[in-house]
Amino acid sequence: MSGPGPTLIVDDLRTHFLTKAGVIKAVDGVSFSVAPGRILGLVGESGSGKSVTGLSIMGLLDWPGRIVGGRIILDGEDLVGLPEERLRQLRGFRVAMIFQDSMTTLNPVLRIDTQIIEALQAHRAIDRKAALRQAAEALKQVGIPAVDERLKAYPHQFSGGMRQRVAIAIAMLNEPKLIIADEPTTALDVTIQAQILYETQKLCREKGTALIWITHDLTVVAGLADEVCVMYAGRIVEHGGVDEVLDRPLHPYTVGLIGSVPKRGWRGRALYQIQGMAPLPLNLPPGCAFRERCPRADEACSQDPEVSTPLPGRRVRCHHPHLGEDS
Amino acid sequence: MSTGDNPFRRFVSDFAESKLAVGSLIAFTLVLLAALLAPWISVQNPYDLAQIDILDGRLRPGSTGMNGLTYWLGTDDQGRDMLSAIFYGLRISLGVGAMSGIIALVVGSIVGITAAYVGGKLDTLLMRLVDLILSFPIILIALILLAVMGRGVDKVIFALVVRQWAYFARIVRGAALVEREKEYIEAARSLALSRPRILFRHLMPNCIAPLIVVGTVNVANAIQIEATLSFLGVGLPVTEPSLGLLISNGYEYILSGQYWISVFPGVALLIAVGSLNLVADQLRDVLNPRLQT
Repeated sequence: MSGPGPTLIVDDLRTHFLTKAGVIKAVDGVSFSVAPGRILGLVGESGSGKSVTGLSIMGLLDWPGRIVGGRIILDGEDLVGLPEERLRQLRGFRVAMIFQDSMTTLNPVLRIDTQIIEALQAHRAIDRKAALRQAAEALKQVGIPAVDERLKAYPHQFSGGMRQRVAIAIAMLNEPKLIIADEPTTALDVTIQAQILYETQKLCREKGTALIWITHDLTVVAGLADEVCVMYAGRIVEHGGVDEVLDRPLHPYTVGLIGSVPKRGWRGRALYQIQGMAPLPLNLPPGCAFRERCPRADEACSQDPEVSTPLPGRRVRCHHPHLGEDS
Repeated sequence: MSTGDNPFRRFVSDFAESKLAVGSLIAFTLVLLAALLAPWISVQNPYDLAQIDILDGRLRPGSTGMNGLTYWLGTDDQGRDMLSAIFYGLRISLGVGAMSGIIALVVGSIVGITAAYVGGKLDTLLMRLVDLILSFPIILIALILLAVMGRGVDKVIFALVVRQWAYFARIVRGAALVEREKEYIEAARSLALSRPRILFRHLMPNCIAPLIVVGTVNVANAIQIEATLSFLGVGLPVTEPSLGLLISNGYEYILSGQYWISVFPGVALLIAVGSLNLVADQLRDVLNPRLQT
């Protein structure tokens, strides 16, 4: 990797939920890194652990979730085991988050200016006037017209796309090093989605913010991210540059995911389906978690596959990756 | 992009859809005005023993007293003008209702919202306490407390608050549990806002709608209970009759045809409580989140 060192290094992160029914290994040994100004797509089905990874980095895990191992190094500082006081200083300041549901991500009873000023004042001593000026600036940046009027509005007077823009503006306020976006465009229609993706991408490049974009939508990742991690049952099963992974997937699961996206000229033909359902990561048996659904599984798959690097810059966790013969 | 109409105006027009509710609101406003303006619109101060004349006792409605005053609603056995006594009685009743309602609301909200947000053992502990308190009838708790503490406005309010806060705590906790899961709370946490700020500025205002409804019903309830306590003779001192005491004063004469001493305060109580309940009913319909966009 060229340029300055990565903003975030996640190393062998393990986040488990200790429930009465047993230990749910929501995140089980995840490693990746993001460099300044780069965008990492985190892809997976519901329950694959992608959101929990995001919350672990934010330190916002709800009971009974707990980080039981690994390191999260933000800007040289390991966040795991930091006292809550220090985490709070970083949260919203060095690392910010954008959430999924644009309808509920802003507080319905507070005006937009109040919410922005509050976010500013949480982290530095800044008087109301200066904060207001900065709030207007922030909204302009995410492409909101008639800023002065909009600042005095309540969230219900905004459309979904506008609200999500405001949420992005709030996340960017303190110019964090890292932004974690948890499926923020899922609830928006495609034209708005495209605009927001484009603008977020631009802002991150300009400001050198590292971005983790959590999504289940491969088409979003294709247009947005530089690198992609595919998660399955709490593990990263494939990692690489976005074009390489999409053009030449190695893991059978990634192949299945790409195959289940409708393509032009395929009308009337059945889409590829991955058989079965994603397993609950509760007391998973040893071995590859995907083997029950995998067309390539054999006896070897009852052993845990190791991470291998079959191609430069590519990591895959599989005994039988799609290499050469049939990609 | 929707500009959205003024939410307050929409609230008013929604409320005005029911004629009964508007009528009740007007009736309650009149009751409230009578209570607030009692010292200025009453012909005599029923608590000033120098102004009342025992010889005017139990006069029929419309008769004229020794001092030339016309008693439009008659007088009670002490010679008090019933109309003035009702105005002053409403003052006490509404005051007790409002004060106990507000204190219970504040205490209950703080407890409920803390329980919901913190969760875990504290939540369990507080909510079992609420269950325990609500399992006793309010009249029993109030009777016991007043028997120990004696009479007085402050004591009646205290006795009401001791139980009613639990109501609010339960309601607020329920609302807060729903709101807590919404993403704006998570977003507030991700911005590292302080806990009191999240609780009282973000969570609390979003739980207000059910509180308004419960609060209104509760004030009506408190008025009724205060009247009951005074009727039973444990509420307010005899020298400062509230509506309940007025009703109980006339109770012994009602069979001898001197109905007005009990009936008129009863009607006043009915109007106050009834109109407040009808207003609360309409508020519940208007503020019902399922009917909102």
